[in-house]
Amino acid sequence: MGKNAPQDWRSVLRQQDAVRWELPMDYMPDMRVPGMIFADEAMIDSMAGDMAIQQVANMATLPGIVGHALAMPDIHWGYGFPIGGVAAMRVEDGVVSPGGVGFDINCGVRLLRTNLHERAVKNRLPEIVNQLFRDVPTGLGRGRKRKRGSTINVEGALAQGAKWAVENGHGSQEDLAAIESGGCLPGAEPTKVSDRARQRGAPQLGSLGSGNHFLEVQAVETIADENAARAFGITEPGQVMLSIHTGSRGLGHQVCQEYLGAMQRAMERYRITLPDRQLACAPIQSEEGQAYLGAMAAAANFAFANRQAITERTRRAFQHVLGRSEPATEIGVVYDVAHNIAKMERHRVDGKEMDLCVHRKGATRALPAGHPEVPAKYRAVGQPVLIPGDMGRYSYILVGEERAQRETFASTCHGAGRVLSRGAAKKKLAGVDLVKALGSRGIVVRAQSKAGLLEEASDAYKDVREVVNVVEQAGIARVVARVRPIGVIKG
Amino acid sequence: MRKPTCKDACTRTGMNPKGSAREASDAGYVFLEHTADVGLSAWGPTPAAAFAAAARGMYAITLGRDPAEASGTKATCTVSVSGATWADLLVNWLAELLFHFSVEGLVGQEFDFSACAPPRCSAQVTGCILDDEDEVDGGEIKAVTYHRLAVEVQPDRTTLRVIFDI
Repeated sequence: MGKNAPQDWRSVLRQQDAVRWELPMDYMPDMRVPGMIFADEAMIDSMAGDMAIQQVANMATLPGIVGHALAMPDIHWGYGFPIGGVAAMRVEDGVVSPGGVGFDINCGVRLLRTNLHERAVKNRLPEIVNQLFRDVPTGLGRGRKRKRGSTINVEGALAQGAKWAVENGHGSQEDLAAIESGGCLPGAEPTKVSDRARQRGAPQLGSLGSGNHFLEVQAVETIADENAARAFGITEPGQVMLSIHTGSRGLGHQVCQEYLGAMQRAMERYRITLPDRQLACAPIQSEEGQAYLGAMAAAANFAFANRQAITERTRRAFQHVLGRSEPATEIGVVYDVAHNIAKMERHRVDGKEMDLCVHRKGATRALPAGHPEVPAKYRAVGQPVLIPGDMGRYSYILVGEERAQRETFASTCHGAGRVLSRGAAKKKLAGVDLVKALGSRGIVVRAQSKAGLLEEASDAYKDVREVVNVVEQAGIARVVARVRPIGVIKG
Repeated sequence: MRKPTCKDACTRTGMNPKGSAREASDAGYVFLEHTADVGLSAWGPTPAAAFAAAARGMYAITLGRDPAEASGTKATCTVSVSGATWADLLVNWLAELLFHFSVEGLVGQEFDFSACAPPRCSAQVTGCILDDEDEVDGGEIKAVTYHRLAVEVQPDRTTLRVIFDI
């Protein structure tokens, strides 16, 4: 685990400005680059004694890392990498670390837009939420009410991601243009995904899972950037939107678990020593590294297909309740981002263009206006960045800024970040009827697990507004709009 | 080898269904708080007893209650994993049980070990296959991590610590 965390990180960090804190290389002997933490003063103070910043230092020891080991303002203690961590390694001689992606490979968020106003759905909201809860499997394991051992061929999903889903009747070609990497990571090697991972994940295709995953019906609350909002199809306060937060389910979990084990064994062979076993890694160019990257890309594609399938179920649920012929029920994809991923990207470091493997673990890509990878319809304004908050407050839609390109390998935050453990949240809210409490505020909630719902209450999370304020102040993303939940489906 | 049973972990050890220890005991587990994830500390007079207790703790996190209370079709399977170190063995043992839970819905209730020391851990796992997934009211464990993992084996007591990604 390396060193123990100091009680006062201010004595270690060098404050660059109001939201940038450098972790110097002399903090720990094996650091290859300094760290950079994006946070306000209160956030730094709240991390006294916390291991998250220590994990930034650990991350900085990985071979081939360039620039800074980065932490976004939603940083919290993870395993290996902190959640909110970003690290870029040279492709030629750097390493890839499954722990730098996380177990839920391509966990991400998809935002959908409708032409409906919340006024028009207010009375039907309980019906809509119930229908979504029926149609989109939630909860543990295989996806609710699925038959065990059902064999589903997922080869297409692994190889082609969302494209496979669309070709199999889950959505339209238009959807694909509004997904990070077109909904299909290049380099996917389905043969590197074990049968066990398939067994674990295949029946879960098209399901949400549990924990912090959700499907939310939202209403636009405020619009901060009308130009970008218009480009994203966000037209007015009250417009109904939908957010899907889920990933590659058991398939990705199993891929990560298996490759972590393989890399533990490989590290000895490559003579890599690290301060934390959970950082296990292998050279990108090694057999183990290439195998993991191929399997990870396939799992990422599975996640894109999963969110695509949920999108279609969502559309059908709306049409079922509101009527198929109603044009207002047309639901379009605004964007889909991955926030647990490693991607091959080209960035400029110290004035030199480099091919890098960018690990984002609880961090979102944030490309600025004009970048060729931003979908054509958004290229004039930049890539939509989707930042979920919590089910009682609000979520944000941001857009990438040019400075992210220069400082953070085009990355920004991914969410609110927990402040209470799951146990502490349940203890604090013991006896609270959260469904009723949220209902009294106009938020209709359906959840598979009552205990799980308490763990996900607003009290358990940072106010996402504070996180977003930091990235906006840092100039790595800016706010386009804020949405608030009106219907919540949880596992 | 001594065969730990559900009774060891839940009744004799003074473990309530939520997993908090009421008194020092032979074998059992307690949950550990971690901001984003959930962990547990488990112990027993032998490595096998501690491994069994850790398994019960893992099921308790998933089910939201003691695994002994789970009902369904009776089932048995043999679980056999390898690991060069105690840490590897523990991670692989729990990951294998998690796999069987995820794919088959198998909740282990009794564990009859034929080996429990590096490089091998083998046990006959007897339990039930959940009939009704809706009775599950805990957290979905994605994986078993090496984060803060600890295994301490002494002649008459083994203690473990493991964090799960949920």
